[in-house]
Amino acid sequence: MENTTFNFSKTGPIHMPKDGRSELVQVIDLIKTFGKNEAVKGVSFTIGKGEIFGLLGPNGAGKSTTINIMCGYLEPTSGDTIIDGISVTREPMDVKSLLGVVPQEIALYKDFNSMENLEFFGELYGMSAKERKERAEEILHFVGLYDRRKEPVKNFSGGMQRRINMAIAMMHNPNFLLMDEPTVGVDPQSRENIFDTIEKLRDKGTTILYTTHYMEEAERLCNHIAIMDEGRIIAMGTLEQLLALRDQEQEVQRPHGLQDLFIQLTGKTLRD
Amino acid sequence: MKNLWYIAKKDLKQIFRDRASLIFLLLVPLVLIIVIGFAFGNLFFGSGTSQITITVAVNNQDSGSVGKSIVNALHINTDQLKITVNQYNTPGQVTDQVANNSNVNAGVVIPAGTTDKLLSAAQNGTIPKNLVQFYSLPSTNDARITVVQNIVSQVLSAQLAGIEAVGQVYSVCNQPGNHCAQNSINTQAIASSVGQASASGGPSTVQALTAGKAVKVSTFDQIVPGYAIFFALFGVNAAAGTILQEKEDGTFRRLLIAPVHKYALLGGKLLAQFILTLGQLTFFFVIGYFAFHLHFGSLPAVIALIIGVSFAATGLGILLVSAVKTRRQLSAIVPLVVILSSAIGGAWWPLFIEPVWMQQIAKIGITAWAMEGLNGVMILGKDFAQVAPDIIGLFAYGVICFLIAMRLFRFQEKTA
Repeated sequence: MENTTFNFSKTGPIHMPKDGRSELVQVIDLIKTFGKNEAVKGVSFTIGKGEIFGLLGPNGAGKSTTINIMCGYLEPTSGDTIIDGISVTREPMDVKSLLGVVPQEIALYKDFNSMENLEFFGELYGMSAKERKERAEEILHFVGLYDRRKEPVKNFSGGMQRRINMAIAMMHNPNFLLMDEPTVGVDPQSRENIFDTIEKLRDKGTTILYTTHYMEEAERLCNHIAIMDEGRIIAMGTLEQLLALRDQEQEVQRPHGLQDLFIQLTGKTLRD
Repeated sequence: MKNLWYIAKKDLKQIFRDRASLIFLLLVPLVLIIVIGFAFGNLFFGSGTSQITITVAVNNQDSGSVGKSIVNALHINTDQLKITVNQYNTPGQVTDQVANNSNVNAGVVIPAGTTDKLLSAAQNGTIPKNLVQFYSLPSTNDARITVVQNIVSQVLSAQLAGIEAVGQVYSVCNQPGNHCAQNSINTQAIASSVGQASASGGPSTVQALTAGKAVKVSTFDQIVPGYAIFFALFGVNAAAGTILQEKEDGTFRRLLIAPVHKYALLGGKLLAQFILTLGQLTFFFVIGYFAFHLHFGSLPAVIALIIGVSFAATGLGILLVSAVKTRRQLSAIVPLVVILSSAIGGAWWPLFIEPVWMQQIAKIGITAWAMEGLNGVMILGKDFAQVAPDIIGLFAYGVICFLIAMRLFRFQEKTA
């Protein structure tokens, strides 16, 4: 990654240079417009196998739209995402089995217990009854909720529901997880539990795209980070590369941390 | 196809786990059916048989044969008609009964000397007028009043015939060469016997026969299908409404991210709606059959109509879900649509008692098609072929709703 370059001009896509990593995900020049609003303006990046890739940006930067396109929920206006060699736009059903999505909101059937939630999604991914039961129990142990597996999830705390929200995405054992702000509104204990889970997943070789507003989360978890604003990626690299960043032309001061860099790049204007 | 079934199964499981929904969809209608069925037991179809019951208030001041003949003629008790005659001493009591007693359908006052007036009129060769007073409520169109009026008129006509016969006897006696001994002709006896013969001869000359099977209709034959459909349409909120609920909860997006085809997802939802409506209707009809002895008539026609209603309700469900954005909007619009279509569509009273123009307007709702068919089969004794237009109408209704809904339905919101 010695040759990583950065572009602060906010024009045109940024392409990650080849660095010898084995790539699992390639995002190629994604553009998405809603009427006259161009939400994503040519986003490109790659994610290596087993990496945790952080996608940061203020509200409305285009992170969620990018994730929605990558998982096949939205069709891009142009561009494509290739996951493990399969095009999301051309073969969405094949790709969907390879990936799991942890949505920003808690998307659960709250009258069901955690086993029922997990087993239902297991059915949709074509798992047999035996596989579903074994895998659901394994995951519930993994996220620390096995003992409460028969309780309706509506009785769970916000943090516990977040963990089940994540468990569902892991149910079919995907190679690639997209996590859209998975720690919003949880207490420090639950957040720590979620971090532990993510680190265990990384250790098992799962590739993760992680979006967050919390810079310390990105600093702790992510191998590579991209910062998005106004539908474009405006900086990308490892944490060290980003922190070592000096834009020669604009004489940007070396940031003291990721939070400092983020504010330098995206400004202090409120994004509601 | 497996995913379609998994989604339908999950939706049904959710609905059956929601006890409040189940009570509203099954128990509340059952209680209403029982209460309304018994409360209005005689409202639409008498006491549950085809016998017509009439009560008449009578004041008979006539000492002659006419008064007695009218009172006797009114005492009828057959399978088809039962007339109860309550006698009063004064005309005022009769008019008071007609005016104030809702059980009394008509009043008859036979003034004193009615028989004598009839006889003298006959001897003079004139037709008497206003001999007997007949009372009913103003502006009433109750057919039972006509029945009573016809009986009284028939008796008077018969008496006139008898008196005419007496006139003929006198004229024969008075012809040259003929002789009738003085006081040998009993005018009243001749008139009475001819009159009785005239009045009683009619019915015995006609042989009453029957064709087909007797249809014993009860109020439950109207109430059970009517309320079953009324509450089945409310089920749209519970089943199709889950699409909006899932969109609001984010689980719909989660399903779209899973390897599930869009139309398997929607199909699963619709299958759940169809099964729920079909199950609900079947439940009420089976309960109705065993508990209230519903008369099904053509069973295949009833089954086809129930399936047609379930299909049309499913179409209506997806149409409403496509037209609104939130569950709250759906919860507001469903009662409006269901109550309006039920009110004019014959869910609460037989469609055939409504004016024709209203029956036509009612066809914009599912209820009218369904109730026209079910009333036809269960009350009017129609067969499958005769209600086939209603069955086809229900399926066409569903297809039209689906086609419109497919134009309106959005899997994803058109915003970032």
